[in-house]
This record gives sequence, structure tokens and C-alpha cells, in this order.
Amino acid sequence: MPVRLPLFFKFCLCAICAAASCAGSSRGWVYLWKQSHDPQTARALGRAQNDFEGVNFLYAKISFATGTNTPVLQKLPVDASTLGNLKTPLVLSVRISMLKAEAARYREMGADIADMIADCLRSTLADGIGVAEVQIDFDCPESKIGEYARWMGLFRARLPKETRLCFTAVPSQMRAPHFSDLAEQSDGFVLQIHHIAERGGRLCIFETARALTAVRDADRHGTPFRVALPTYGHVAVGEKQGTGQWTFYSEDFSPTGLKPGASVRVVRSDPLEVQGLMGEIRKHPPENFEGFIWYRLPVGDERFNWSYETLLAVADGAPLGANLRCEETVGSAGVLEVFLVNDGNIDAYAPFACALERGDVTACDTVNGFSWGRQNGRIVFSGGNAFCKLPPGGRLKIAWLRLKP
Amino acid sequence: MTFFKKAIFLLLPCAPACLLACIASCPTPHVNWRNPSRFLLKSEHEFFERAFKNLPEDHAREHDEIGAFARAKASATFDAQNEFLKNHPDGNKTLYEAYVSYRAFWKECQTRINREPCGCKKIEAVADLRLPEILLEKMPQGLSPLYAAYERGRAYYLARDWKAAEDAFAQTETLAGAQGHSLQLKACYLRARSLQAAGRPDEALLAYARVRELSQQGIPDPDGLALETFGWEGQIFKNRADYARAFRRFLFLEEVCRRDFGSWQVIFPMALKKLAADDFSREWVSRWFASGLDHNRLLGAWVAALNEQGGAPSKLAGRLALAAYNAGDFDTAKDCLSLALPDDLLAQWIRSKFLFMGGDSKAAARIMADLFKRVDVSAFSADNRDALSEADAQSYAYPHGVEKYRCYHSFHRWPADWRGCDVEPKQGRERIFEKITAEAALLFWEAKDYALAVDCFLDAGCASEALFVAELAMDIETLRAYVRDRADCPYLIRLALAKRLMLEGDFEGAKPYFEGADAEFFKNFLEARRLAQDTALPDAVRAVNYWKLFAACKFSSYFFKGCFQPTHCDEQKEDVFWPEYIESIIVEDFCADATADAAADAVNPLARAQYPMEKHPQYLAAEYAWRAAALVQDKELKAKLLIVGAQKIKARSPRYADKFYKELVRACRPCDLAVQADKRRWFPAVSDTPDDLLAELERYAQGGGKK
Repeated sequence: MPVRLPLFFKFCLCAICAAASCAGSSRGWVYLWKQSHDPQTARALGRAQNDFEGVNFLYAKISFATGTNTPVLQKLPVDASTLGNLKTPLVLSVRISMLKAEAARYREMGADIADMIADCLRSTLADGIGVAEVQIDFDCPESKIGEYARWMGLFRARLPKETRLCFTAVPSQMRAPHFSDLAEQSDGFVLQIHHIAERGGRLCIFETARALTAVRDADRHGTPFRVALPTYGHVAVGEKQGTGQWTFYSEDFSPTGLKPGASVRVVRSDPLEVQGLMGEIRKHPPENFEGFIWYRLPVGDERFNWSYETLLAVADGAPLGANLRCEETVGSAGVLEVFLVNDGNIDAYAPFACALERGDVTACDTVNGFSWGRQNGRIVFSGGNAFCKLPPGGRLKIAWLRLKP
Repeated sequence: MTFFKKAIFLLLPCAPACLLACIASCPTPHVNWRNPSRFLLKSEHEFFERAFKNLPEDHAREHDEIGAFARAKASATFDAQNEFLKNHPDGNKTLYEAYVSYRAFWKECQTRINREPCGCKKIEAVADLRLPEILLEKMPQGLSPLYAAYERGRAYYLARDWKAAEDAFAQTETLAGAQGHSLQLKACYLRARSLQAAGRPDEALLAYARVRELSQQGIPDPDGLALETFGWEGQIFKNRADYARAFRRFLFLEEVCRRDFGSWQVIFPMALKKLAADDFSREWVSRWFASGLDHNRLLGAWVAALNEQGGAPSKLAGRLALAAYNAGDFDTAKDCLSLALPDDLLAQWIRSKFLFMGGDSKAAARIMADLFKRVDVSAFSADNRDALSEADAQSYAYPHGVEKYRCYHSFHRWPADWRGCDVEPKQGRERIFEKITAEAALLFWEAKDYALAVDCFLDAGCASEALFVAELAMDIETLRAYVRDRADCPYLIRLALAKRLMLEGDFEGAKPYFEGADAEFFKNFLEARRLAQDTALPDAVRAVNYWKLFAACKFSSYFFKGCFQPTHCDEQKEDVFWPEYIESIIVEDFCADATADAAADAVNPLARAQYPMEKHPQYLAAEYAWRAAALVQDKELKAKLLIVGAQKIKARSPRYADKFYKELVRACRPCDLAVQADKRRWFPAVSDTPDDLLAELERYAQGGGKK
């Protein structure tokens, strides 16, 4: 039996929710893209609920059986209790794998997939997770966008009217002839301007000019849309030099498996570049533009994703910079211990460099992958472990010094 | 989303089948996990043998055959394909055999050749075959019941019909002929997978254990499925929050396959105590920490957990100490040292580092000297892989030869690597050896055991540091003895000795230590110097030789320089070698008739300090040019000599170059260059090179001092 709350209490609750929502509203939404949840995920969600407009979490994947192309639903083990207690709106994402099939096969399986998506929504509600929106993430071939639009109609029919239905789109899909049909069937879409690729001889996650063009194109369809902005990075490993064939690794990258001669590059989303793009979009916001959504929420100590503080600084439009300095403290055995401190508001990455004005050092050794040298009466430290990230406010021990008595 | 395809999520416990791994036993007391590579190699060997046995010798024929088969598949029904096979010249194959042959061929392409074969398009076409789909409809005629049941199970499995797949695989295992057959093991594995996918983990665990049992009985397992079971079991235990058990399995996979460490990093903080209580986990978690990956913020907590359980495994204590020291966790490093065995090399090294930190360099040097006496250096060479696997914790994390990481390699060296980032890592050595040796060298240096210090620096590849000790720290007799006692003494040390003998004025003594082009250069230099100082010769001839000396100093300045100051010296010592050398030559060659200012400049350290140290050979060159110009009467030639002679120093040291300018204006009038110089109050530009002027001087000398 539903509990009836007094009117005044309802009003207070609404006011609290509105205040919380306002705090994060200008920062946009954020994706939580994890295959399974753990305590670190719960901590990240706990912070995000106060800082962002809403959270979009991956709930299920639909893949297709080899040979038969029969859709198979896999629900992921999400942390229902944490999600259910969040005070911020939630979006349920369902990832649909790439499907290579004839149009007729698309039509055959549409109803099954729609049932699966409806089942996902039912399950989340049963688990106590209130979902305001369902988002479909499907790399649909451009030639099949018309079929995807039909699917979207089926999805819409199976979901409650008050549940918003959205999908993700990349710029190339927007050029497909039936894209407007697809957009019409939904309540909105998320434009992904990021796609890691080799452009002009360098690897990058997105290009501002192309992204702005895509945003303008998205507005032409007359459907509300959000823009997904990247926070992540990847390690690109090329087995052979000059072939342009890269394998991309994320947080699971381990140098132990690298073959001799392999070239390794780290590609990261640049906070300044992303903030510049945000500024350009906000300067002349398109009519149907609803806001930004960040891919993805930092969870734990990720090496290639931004830290949470960096994400907040970029989302707030604050002046950005990593400000590194050396700090000395008296350590054990009477030596000075030197720390590298990031006083800025964005992450700093190895190799680092910093110096101490010290001419009275008689002995020194470095740790955490640093090396040192003397230069014009200063002690200069440089290096750092590969892939080391120093977040805003971070402190890393880099050396000890023994001074002249 | 396209970018999601790139993401490999942390919690995937098992990647697709590891073709390289085969395990002969499970991690019960039978398993030899200390040397997993033995299994890897054996597995590879077995796999390739099998793959080749099933293949025709002529690969090209195989390509054509598969290509034709693929075309038939693309254009016809299953029956038509069978028809095709019947009519094929080699058509006694069934569809199933063709399919098996294709799979073997594909594996061979992928794993042995590791590149696409010439018929790659055909391979792609075959890869699109939907045999499982076909098999569900109709089994090929002549297929044995064992294979038919197995393939039916696979078809159901791929179609995600877990119950039907389980039944089919269970049937396969019990069929006649399955006993001892590799299909029995495969069917058991896939049955376990089906059970797990169907949400029946307890039954899946039993089936996984059965897979390992079959593997131990000797049933061939070329795809390493027995090993795979650990990953799947780990996932089941992780989902049950049974972290210690999950860890055992993930760690085993990590060590054997070098993969999948992400799965258990996540659950690590939750399970420290349980892990420390478990023998198997204790060993492998310690090894993981010692590997030097950037996760050492938990190391202190791990060592504390180990201590609660009665102490860390002592043979790993040195590695843990090194990892803790490298992470800056000195207290934990000391805790680890207390648990180390007496002959633990890494522990000794870290001990000496702590002594050095505490200011007791002599005791630190004693430890290292003792270590070098007791430990065979070859134990650290690349030849001895077993020793390395224990000792080289860092190469674990950052393998050699990886481009872009070379910079990191050199950064990580202490002292710094003089060779820079664009040089190949030294072959046949490992960094841990170089690091230990370089640090030992510093300690020996501080303990005034210079010969040992030079040896160690050279072994560590720190040539500049070795040179610095040879030039500045050793006395000349020690250096001479060092060179004499080592037949393979590198030339840079011999050169240092030669230069120091020059400094002493022992030119004849220096001669034997120069080699190759340097010997030739030195011979010419001495001859020019002798002729230039021979006052019996005509002035013009002497001027030619002074100009040769000028060119020698200008273009071969390294010859007149001492070593560069290494950046890690305890004190910024004055570079005493080459200023003294300059001084001695200046005093000898010039002071008799040099201007008082020039002589004072040359010997006055304060004045010298105004010149960048590395530019001193240019200063010397200018002095020789000055002397050449003084011996020339022709005003135009003299003007050119003064202008070119001052070229290198006029920007750096206008005060010193001023004497050239004044001489140009006063002594060379009324030639054009002197007039121009006077007009612009500084040196005019000339296009003549030193070689041009040498030729002109030689003509001038041949003309008896007249142009």
C-alpha cells in the first residue's frame, strides 16, 4: 500500500531535490560504464549524485548468437542498492552489439529485442532502481538505420509513456537517409563526437572542428540531443612500425605483454580541448541542445581516465592547469623527503619535471621512477613511473636528500 | 558506441582460449607453477606438431581447396556443399573433416605465421561459414556419433541454448570412444561453461575440476582448457565474495598467462587477510607486488597482513623490499629486510641504500664490495634467465626493447644514463644489474676505491661517470696502473690517461695511449707546435704552424676538453683538469710575450669564470691565431687572421676579443678591413675560412713572407 506523505513534506522533498539538481545541472550528466560494480563504483556514484544532473549506467548487453543471429540478453551485475538510493535521475543503458544481417532478419528480431529492453526496465524497477530514461547504444550500420527506426517504434510501444527513450548516434549515422525517422521515434539522442582514430598522422580522440560540425548537423533533425564528451584515454599498441594498425587498451593495459619493437602511444582526452569545445557550443547553443554527458565517471584509481577533480573543473568551466611543485618534509633517518605536489585543478602525467633550489645536498636517491641531476645550484627531478597520473591535490614521494651537516 | 568496443573491462576474468598455455596438472601439489614457461613451451610444441600433422604439405593447395569450399558454401545449400565435396578430386572428405581442416589451418595461420596468408580473402570467406547452424539442421553423413554429439553440443552452445548444450556434451562424454579422447575433455569444459552460463555454479565447479582431472590423466589439451578453468572458477568465487579462492585462481592465470590481472586488483583491498592466510595466495600476491607494477600503495598493508600471519616468505623479502623502496615506502622496505635471507642480493642492496641514506657510505660500500666478491656477476647477465626471474623485479614491469619506453629506461637509471634516449638498450644486460652496479660504483668512489668504481661505472654503462673518476679522482699513477692491468681497457679511459700525461707535459709518455685518428692528430699537433715554437724558422713558416694549431683547437675541441661533469657528484667539484691544461699551455706558449691582460685573463680564475667552461678550447684557438697574426707582416692577411681568429670568442667574450679588434685597427691600417673595423667599431665580416687562410698563409710562406 503506497505511503501518503503530507503535502508540506512533499514540498520540502521537492525543494531538496531541486536544490541538489541545480548544483549539478550545469555540469550535465555522466556515464557509469562498468561491467560490474564494486565499492569503488559505489563511492563514485555517491559523489556523482551531488555533482551531476544525472547518471547513465550500463545495465545490459544484447549480443547475437553466432550463426543464428538470435539475440541474447545479458544483464550485468549492477549495485542495485546504491543505484536505488541515489537522489539523482538515472538512465538505463542497453548496449546492443553490432549486427550483420539482412533487413528481413532485422525485422524478424525487432519484437524480441523490444521485449528484452522492456524486461530490463521491469527488472530495474523490481530491484528498486527508479529509471527516468532508457538509452539504446547500438552501432547500427548506416544502411540499416531505417530498420533501427522500426525497432525504436517497437521499443517505444513497450515502454511506459513517462519513460524517456533515447539512443546514441555518431556523426556518420546522422547522414543516413532514415536518421530523421529514427530521431522522430525517440525522445532524443546522445551525439558522440569522440572516436579514437589516426587523423593527420596522429592519434586523437576527437577534433573540435569536426565535433562542432556534427553538433550543428544534429540540431537539424529537430530532436532534443545531448553531446557526449570524452574523459578517457587509451594506450595504443602498434605491433609493427608504420603500419598504422593499432590495438587499443584501456585500464587493463599491462606492459608485460608487449613484444619487443612494439610502439606504444598514450592517447588522452585533453581537458583544455574539451573545455574549449564546450565553450564553443555554449556560446551559440543549438536550439535542440539539452546539455552535455560525460563519458565516463572516474571510478577508483584509473590510469587513463580523468580524475574526478579534473572532471569537475572542466565541467565547471574553471581556468585549467596542472601546477607542479616540490615539497620537502623531514623524513626518517634525518633525511629530507621530497614530494611532488599537484596544486592545479587538472591531472598531470609522467614524465614530470620539477626542481628544488638546493646547493647543500650531499646525497640523494629517487623513487617512483624519478631521476635527478644538478643544474645551476638546483636539484632537478624528472621522469616518474610510466603512465603515472598525479591528480589535483595529489602528492607523490619522489626522492630523499641528505644535506651537508 | 564505437569507443566501447575499444574498452576491455576490468572484470573479464578470462580472455578467449589461450593457445599457448597447456597445463599438465592442476595447482594442487602436482602443479609445477614455479616454472610455468615449461608448460608454455611444451604446449606450443605440441600444438604446432598437431597443427602441421593435419595439414597437407602444399599450403597453396589447401588455400585453393578452402577457397573453393567457401565459394560452394556461399552459393549453395548444405547438400550442395556435400555434393561438391564428393565431386572434389580429394572428395572423400566429409564436410566435417573439411571444417576441422579449416580450423587447423586457421590456427596455423594465426599462431605460427602470425600474418595473413596470401589467401586471406578465402580465409575470411571460410570464417563466415555457419557450420553450427547447418549442423543443427542436419549432421553430415558418415560423421561418427562422438563427433556428431560434440558438434551438436557446440551448435547449441553457440546458440546460447545452455540446457540442450549441456545434455549434448554430457552425452559426448559418455559415448563409446570418448574415453581418453581430446573431445572428452573439450566436451567436459563446454558442459561446465554451459552450466555456469545457466546460473548453476556449483555444478560448473565440479565440471571444471573434472576438466583438470582429465588433463592430469594425460588427455591432450592443446587449447589449454584446463588452465582456462581457473579463470572461470575465479569468477564464480569472486561473485560469491570468496576472495581468497578467487585470488588463487586469478593469480595463477596471471602468472602463467600474464594476463587478467585486472580482475583481482579490484577485489584486492577486501581480501588482504584471507590472502595472507593462504599459502598459495601469499606466494603469488607477494610476487605480484614485487613485479613493480604501479600498485604499491597497498604494499604496506600487505606486509602488515603477512606479519600478522607470521612473516613474509623470506625468499621474496628482497624483492618486496625493493618494491617498497621504489615506491618510497621506506618503513615497509625496512620491515621486509628484517625477513630476508642472508644471501638475498636485493635485500643487501637495499640495506646498503639505507646505510647510504643514513650517511654511512663506508658501511654501504662494504656491503656492496662484499656482495661483488661473493656474487658472480654472470648471475645477472641475460644468459642466466633463472637468476633474472628472481632478481630482476623491474624488468618484469618494463620489458626491454619497447620503443617509446626507452626514455623511461634511461630515466630510471641511477646515475643518469649519459647515452640519451635514442640509443638501443645495452644487449646482454638487464637494468637491475646496471642499477646495482652503478650505485655500487658511487659507493666505491666515495670510499676512494677508484679502480673498482671505474670498473663498476663501465659495467653499468655510465661512461661519463667512469671518465670523471679517471680524470679527476684517480692520481695519475693509479690511472696508469689501471690502464696497464686491463688489456680490454676502453679507449676513453686510455684517452683520459693520455690527456693527463699531456697536462703533466709528458708528451712522449702520452703518445702510446692515443689510437687511430687521435694518434695521427696528436702527431700532427706536436709537429706543428714544434715548428711554431722554433724561432730559427722564418716567421711566415711559424705563422703557418700556429694557424694549424688554431685550426686543430677550433675543430677538434674535444681533444682539449676534460670530461663533462656528471650530474650526480656529491659536490660540484671544480673541473680541475682542463683549465690547468689550458693554463700550462698558455704559460708555456704565450706568457713570455703575451700581453699582460691576456696572460692575466688566461690564468685568473675569476676572469675565466666569465667564459663558459666548454668554450675554453676556443679561447686556446684564439691565442694560437693571435700568435700567427703577430708573425705576419702583410696587413691584409694579418687583418683576416685576426678577424677569423676572434670569430668564436667575440660573442662570448668581447672583453678578450677586444685585443684582436684593437690590433686590427692599429696594426693593419690602411687596409680596407681595418678601416671598416674602425668605422663600425667592431669586427667586419669576412668570407675566408680557416682553410682558405691556411692556403693563403702557405703561399705567403713560400713567397718568403711576401704576397
